[in-house]
Amino acid sequence: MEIAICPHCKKEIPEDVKFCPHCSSAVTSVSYATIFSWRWADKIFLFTVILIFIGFFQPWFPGSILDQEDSLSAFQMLLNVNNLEIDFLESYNILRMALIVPIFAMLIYLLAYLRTGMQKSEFLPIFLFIIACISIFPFFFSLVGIFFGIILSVVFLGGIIFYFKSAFRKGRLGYASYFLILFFICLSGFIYQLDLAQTFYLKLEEFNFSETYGFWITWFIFGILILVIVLNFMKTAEDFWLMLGGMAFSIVGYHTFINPLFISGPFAFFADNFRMVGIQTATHIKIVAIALVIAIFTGVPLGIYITRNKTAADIVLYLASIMITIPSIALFGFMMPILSSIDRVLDAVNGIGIGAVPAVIALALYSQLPIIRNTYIAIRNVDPATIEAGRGMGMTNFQLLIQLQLPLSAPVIMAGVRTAVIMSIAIAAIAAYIGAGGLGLFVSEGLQMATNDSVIAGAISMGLLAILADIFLGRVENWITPTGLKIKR
Amino acid sequence: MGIMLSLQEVTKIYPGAEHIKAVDSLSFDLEEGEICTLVGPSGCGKTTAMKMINRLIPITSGKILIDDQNINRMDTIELRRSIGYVIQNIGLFPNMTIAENIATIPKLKGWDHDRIAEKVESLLEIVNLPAEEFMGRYPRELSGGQQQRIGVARGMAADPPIMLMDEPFGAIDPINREHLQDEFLKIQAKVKKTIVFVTHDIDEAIKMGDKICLLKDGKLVQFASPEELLTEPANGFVRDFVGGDRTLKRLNLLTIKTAMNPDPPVIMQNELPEKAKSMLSELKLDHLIVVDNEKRLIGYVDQEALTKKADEVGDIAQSTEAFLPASSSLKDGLSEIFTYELGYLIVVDEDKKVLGTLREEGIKNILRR
Amino acid sequence: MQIRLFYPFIKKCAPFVVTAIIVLLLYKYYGAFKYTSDNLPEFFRLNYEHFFLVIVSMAAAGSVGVFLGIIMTRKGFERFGSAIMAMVNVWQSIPSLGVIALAYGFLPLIGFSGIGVVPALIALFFHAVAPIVRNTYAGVKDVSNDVIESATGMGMTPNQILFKIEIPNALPVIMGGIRTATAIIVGSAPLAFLIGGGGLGFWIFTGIALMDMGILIAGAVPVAIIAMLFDTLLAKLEKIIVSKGIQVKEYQTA
Repeated sequence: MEIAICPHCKKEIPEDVKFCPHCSSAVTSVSYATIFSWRWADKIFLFTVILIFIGFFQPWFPGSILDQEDSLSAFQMLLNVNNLEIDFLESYNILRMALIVPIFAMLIYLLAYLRTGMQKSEFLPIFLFIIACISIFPFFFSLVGIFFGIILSVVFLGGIIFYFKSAFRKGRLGYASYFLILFFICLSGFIYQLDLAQTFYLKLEEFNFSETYGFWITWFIFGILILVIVLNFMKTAEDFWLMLGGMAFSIVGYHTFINPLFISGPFAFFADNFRMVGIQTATHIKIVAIALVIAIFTGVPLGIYITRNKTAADIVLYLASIMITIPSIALFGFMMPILSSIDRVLDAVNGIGIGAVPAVIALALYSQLPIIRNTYIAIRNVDPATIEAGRGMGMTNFQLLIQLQLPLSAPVIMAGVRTAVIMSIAIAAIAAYIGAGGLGLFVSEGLQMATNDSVIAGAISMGLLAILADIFLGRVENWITPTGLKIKR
Repeated sequence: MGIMLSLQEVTKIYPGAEHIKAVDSLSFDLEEGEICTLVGPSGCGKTTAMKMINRLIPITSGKILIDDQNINRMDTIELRRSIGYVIQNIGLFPNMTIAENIATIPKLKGWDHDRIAEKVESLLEIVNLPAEEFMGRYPRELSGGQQQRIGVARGMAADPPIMLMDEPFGAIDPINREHLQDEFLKIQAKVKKTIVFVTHDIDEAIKMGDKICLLKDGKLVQFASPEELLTEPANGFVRDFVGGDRTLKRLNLLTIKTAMNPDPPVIMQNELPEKAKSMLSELKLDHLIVVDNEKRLIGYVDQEALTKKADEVGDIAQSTEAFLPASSSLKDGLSEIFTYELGYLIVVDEDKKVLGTLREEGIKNILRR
Repeated sequence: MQIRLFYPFIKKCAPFVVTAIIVLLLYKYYGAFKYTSDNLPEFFRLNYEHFFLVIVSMAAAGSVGVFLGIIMTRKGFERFGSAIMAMVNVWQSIPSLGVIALAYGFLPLIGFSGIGVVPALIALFFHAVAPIVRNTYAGVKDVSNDVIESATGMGMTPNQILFKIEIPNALPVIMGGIRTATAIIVGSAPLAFLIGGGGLGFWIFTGIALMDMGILIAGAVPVAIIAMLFDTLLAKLEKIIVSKGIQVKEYQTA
């Protein structure tokens, strides 16, 4: 699902064609344009803009809705701006105003895409142009009066166009794109007329950031997390439009049908309990990590051993698969009385909670199956010819293992570890019920005390953790695979 | 015997590659019951041309007529069901038994149960795979050669008037390939279907085809019978493609019957040796063929043999291996001539009756014509 | 001599026998027997609820999953293919507790209750549909191109090809996906109790809360048995409906 690009003229071509329809050169190899061929700065910039764009329609962003009964979204405020009292305007903070910019930035991005295709991001210069139109020119006007303001604006504008002239080339839209540019210039006049610019620039010293630090950190971190996830899943222009469409639909959808404030509950929960969320996430990760390390160090050698012994293989695999059918919660419960006494002795897990040790041990046991099974299959599937060649060259069994079998099986073993990690994150969530802590705590407490916000917040955080872990491990898997074995998915 | 398949100025241009014609104004007519082999170097468009006949690839311009009907006006599915289709990698359905595989199209056409069962059995007999043994088997239990035969049987299942075959013997090892080719020709002798057969092997094309259609870069270079292709190649390309040994290739095509000297002088086995002697000196021969009352080959006598004392020629006749049935190829004939002491070959029929002799002169004469 | 003949038989039975013995011992020791027999009607009710959860969500996931997987392979739907795949993967990555929690939290907003059997079913469905979709897609895509080409050339309509060739040939892989999904559902079903979905989770969580191993085991062992039961049933089903021409010879039962 990537766009094929002709290697010569860099235009889009249909997938399996032999000659480029644009430049008629022979297509011997095809390059693909993906979002990953953009510059990083552009990518981050683009998605920050998207996030702010979402926020623009939310009544709770930015600014604490917790002390305002009936708040309007920045969008709504903008529409009603002439009816609102001036001091209300004054209590805006910078971001609300700046949000006008991203809206048009999105529209301009549409324009840029249609004009230049997905070859390079020429978004930035056009965006600068728009910022200039909307923010700086009105400023010029208000500073030096309209006449000189216009002169200054034209000079500035000319400078941008000249410097980034490739971005303003006639593209797919042809002359329509010039009209759009003209439109935005007029828009700057409109904004000036709205008086906002004056208020914005001249009242700078009166803005306030009264929100809690937790709120901002939460928003920022969410932004980064969502950014990483989305960047990972999006590979082409189509994905981008799908995502944009999805966002637009959901924004419109829940503003129309669903309580617009519902997401603010969990969000507020995060902001208020930020520290607790952080601690539990750390606990969760610690439990999973320790259990995984134990599982790998017992599972991989065991998997290697059973490749040499058939009866052992039958027994071990059977045991491990039985292990999985036991419901996790039951295993936890079973271990608790036995092991909680040991916990007092071990300093390593001290402070995490009574249930941590049984949780770690149970997780280690559960992870055995994927890891052992994958190790077993992987080592058995190493081409016997390779082993024979190695043995013929005089390698000892140990050398065979380290130099041949393990590297060749590494991808499959890693896949097993990945499965084990995802499984462990899920099971560790349940461990909250035996006092191990972790993100499941929010869900369990929320269910008990019927606080929806806590439940949803817990679920979202677990989900994010799982997805991110998967992405991260995917990269590790890629990194571990010897280059000679990179399998094309 | 009318024209079953007619291609008229058929052209194929792929969108996005407008300046290359994959197939360029191809035209030929194929009579009912004939095999036409489409042959040419890789990329010459032979498979493309064939796939246009059953509309797996749409025609850009031109017409294809089957039995005088334009294929573009026919319903695609019905068209394909009336054409047998056999491809290189066979494509047997792994989830069905052999019988079910063969019965696929008849079932879709709504034939009744008994008719299908009968057809499956008879087809298995035709391709030489005993029905009881193979009907219930699955494709993965069969060897490549066997699968290929089932593929052909499946193509013939619904009695299609035309069959398309795309390098059907390409995936088979050379030993079995020759065998399958011979088998196939025997089957064709029985069923007489109109077949379009794609191959890249000129020898196979010559062996299998009644008409050969040689393509290069999408264009028709020559459409002719194998004999004509070998004796009158249209241009240098054809000559090169056929190979420098094209004259020798003709040895494969012709039978020894065409090159023999008919009715050679023979002597009955119960005649007197003296008669043999006199015949030898009269006709100035080195050997004299000895036959029985039915003119069946017994052996020969030469001067040396006649020095022995005997009552009948038959007693001193030496038996010989230097004979071949009249339907053998000239190639085998030439090979035998060089093998045996006689210096020439005796041509016999199925009952070993002497029909003629084959000499190098005779072969040379027929090749030169 | 006679003992020799028994070896393979013993080998096959030994694991089951040993496990059964261990289970019986556990039961005895922790008083699970007593608890179960004391509360027999409840035991049956819980089992019924558990079966209901598993079977209904499995049926739903199976049908919708296979349907989606097939749609993804049809021409013209490839773009949605990776979107659906990504979505479905996300639902699987979120821990089972999380999915249940999300059902509890978000369903009320659409008008459904967040508590009860229906949210539990919905949660289980979303969580487990991924392997089925993935496997169906992979299985149908993997049907050899030669087979499809000869079927098309022979004059089969795309629908006929789908039902007579693509699906039957993809069945082993699809069944594998269904088995994985069932394992996931059975493993997550005990959590349904937390949002009022019933099932054997009731005894399990009660056992933990009261620190009573007997109740815990009385709830946990039936869940494990149900898991094994379904896996075996599905294996048998696979043997029946998958054509013999394509059956996978070597099994690794899990």
